[in-house]
Amino acid sequence: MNRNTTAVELAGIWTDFGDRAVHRGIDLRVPGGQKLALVGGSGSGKTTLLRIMLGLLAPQQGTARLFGRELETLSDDDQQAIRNRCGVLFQGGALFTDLNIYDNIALPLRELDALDEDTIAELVCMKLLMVRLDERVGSLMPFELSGGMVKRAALARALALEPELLFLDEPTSGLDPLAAENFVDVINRLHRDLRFTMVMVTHDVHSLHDLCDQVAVLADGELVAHGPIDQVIESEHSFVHHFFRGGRSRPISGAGAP
Amino acid sequence: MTAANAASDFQPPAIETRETDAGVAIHLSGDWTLRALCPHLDELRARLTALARDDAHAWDLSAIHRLDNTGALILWKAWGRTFPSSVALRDSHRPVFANWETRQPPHFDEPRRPPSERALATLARPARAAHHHARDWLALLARFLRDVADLLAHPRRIPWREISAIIHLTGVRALPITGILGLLFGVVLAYQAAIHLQAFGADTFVSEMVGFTMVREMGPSMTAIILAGRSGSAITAQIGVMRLTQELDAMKVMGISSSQRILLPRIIGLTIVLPLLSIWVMLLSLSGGALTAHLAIGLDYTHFFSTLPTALPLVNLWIGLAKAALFGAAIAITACHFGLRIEPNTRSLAAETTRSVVAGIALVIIINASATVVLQNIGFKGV
Ligand SMILES: Nc1ncnc2c1ncn2[C@@H]1O[C@H](COP(=O)(O)OP(=O)(O)OP(=O)(O)O)[C@@H](O)[C@H]1O
Ligand SMILES: [Mg+2]
Repeated sequence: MNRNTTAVELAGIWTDFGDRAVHRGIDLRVPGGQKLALVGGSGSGKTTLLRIMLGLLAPQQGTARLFGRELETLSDDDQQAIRNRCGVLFQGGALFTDLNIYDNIALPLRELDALDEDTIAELVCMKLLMVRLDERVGSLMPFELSGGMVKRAALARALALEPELLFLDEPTSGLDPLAAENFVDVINRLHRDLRFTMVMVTHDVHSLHDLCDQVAVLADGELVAHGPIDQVIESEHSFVHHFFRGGRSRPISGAGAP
Repeated sequence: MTAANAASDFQPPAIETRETDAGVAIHLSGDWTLRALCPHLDELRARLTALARDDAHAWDLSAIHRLDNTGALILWKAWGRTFPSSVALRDSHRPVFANWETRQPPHFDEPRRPPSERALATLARPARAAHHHARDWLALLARFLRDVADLLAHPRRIPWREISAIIHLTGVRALPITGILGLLFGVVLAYQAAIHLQAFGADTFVSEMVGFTMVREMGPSMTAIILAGRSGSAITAQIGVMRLTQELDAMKVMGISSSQRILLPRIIGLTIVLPLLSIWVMLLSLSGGALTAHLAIGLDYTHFFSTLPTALPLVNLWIGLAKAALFGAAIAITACHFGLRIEPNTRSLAAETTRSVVAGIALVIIINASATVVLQNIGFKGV
């Protein structure tokens, strides 16, 4: 993706649920190729913001653009073409419960109607391998997987169409530290090869550190900090302070523990 | 802008061949990515395969702009899963090929049969399936009776709130639809009866005919069939989703009996609701009948209703209501039975909900037929 294009652009987003305002005027621009982390407390509206970016939810006010286009104003075909360029990992996985893992990943590839089954099989296996899942997992049904395996299978499906823009909602939650580290490797390698843009919601300070070059902090319905990670860490906002410098974000080291 | 524009922020892949002194040089350029390749895939693949046949050709991939796994796979397969003897590659593209270099074509185990085939296999052994259903259904009935006994011993645990919610949902909310259908049924029935009885000069028997049919037979079974479709399916789907979302497990670990909190209120609720709704349907269908008899053959309203008590012994009402209560319990237990069989996928949710409605209606008709046989000598005039 060209670096001077804009992948995602939000302007003046305002969202209410009933009388509770979740977003009060959010402006955000994600240039092509950037790896942005969206952090914030639980219930601060991160998932909701992703849904707005994808046009799954219309905000009360403000506009959301994907690749410079406002989805609402486009025809169904154009919307589809834009969405085809995105891969999404939903917080709960959202695997199709009627299809086994193989078919879950193959579904978007078959939908393209251009690839033969042999090629699809190789691509599916490659995706499974990328997320460190065994080929045999392909024949299992979603409810037969553990929570962490669901995450990885869903990531494999999100990667199926080689997206230019990848949305990840808490990809490392539910993974053991080793798997989380593997995940960071996978994404970093893919990013080096494919140069996609990435918007990731996360609570995991370590993977954020290794993976993202920009951080946006959502608190009280606003973006209280936005910029390169070193700069955001310096922010004096109390949530930012606790998130990055609170006791739980320090690595555990046996020697240093009191 | 067009759809093509919205999707195309790529350069189309291209193949160029040049004759040089050393032989043929093949230059690849553009984006070799899934989306860029898709529109011309067959054509590109045919050309690549043809070119790859001669190993003397020199491949130059350094002008490729972007390369993803799909692009690499297409090339790799065209090359016969090995690099050609002369290939120029950008360093940044080398790792993408490395993904494929170490791999053999995948071997999948025999794919698991999809659920529809499994369902077919179940149909092929209907006797066994019926046996399982009957066993589980009776187990559910036994559990319900145990729960009732338990609650009678501890009346403070009776889930009144849930029972009244069920009565509201399945009874009060069903008043309009059952009422309209009952009224129309009474109209049709009285009209048919009036025409045929008039031919024998027996037109004053219209009220007896409508009364018997609606109070003893059609009132309860018609209401039951509506309720099996309306509430039976709702109960099955709701219990099914509760199972999928682990709500039943959550309840269990909190020490709450899901059978007492979820199943029992539904069974008791429907057992109470069905007789009440049947009375409502009887009343409206009799009114419809009286109206039609008046309009069609000029039968007096007072005559219609005043002949009913003598023509229709009261025991018929009791039989009708008892059957209705039985139908209610049967429908609810059937709905719970199928709800508990739902597996964690949407296909199973659909299949079991369908089965629940079909089985509920079948059960109502079977119970009704049995009751007709057993009670054949009771409730008729002069008996
Ligand atoms: N469909 C909805 N209807 C009403 N309220 C909603 C809806 N979706 C989200 N909310 C509310 O909006 C707020 C933000 O929800 P959201 O799921 O975006 O949080 P989040 O930041 O992703 O939290 P978490 O880190 O726990 O996933 C929450 O308070 C939630 O209750
Ligand atoms: Mg969330």
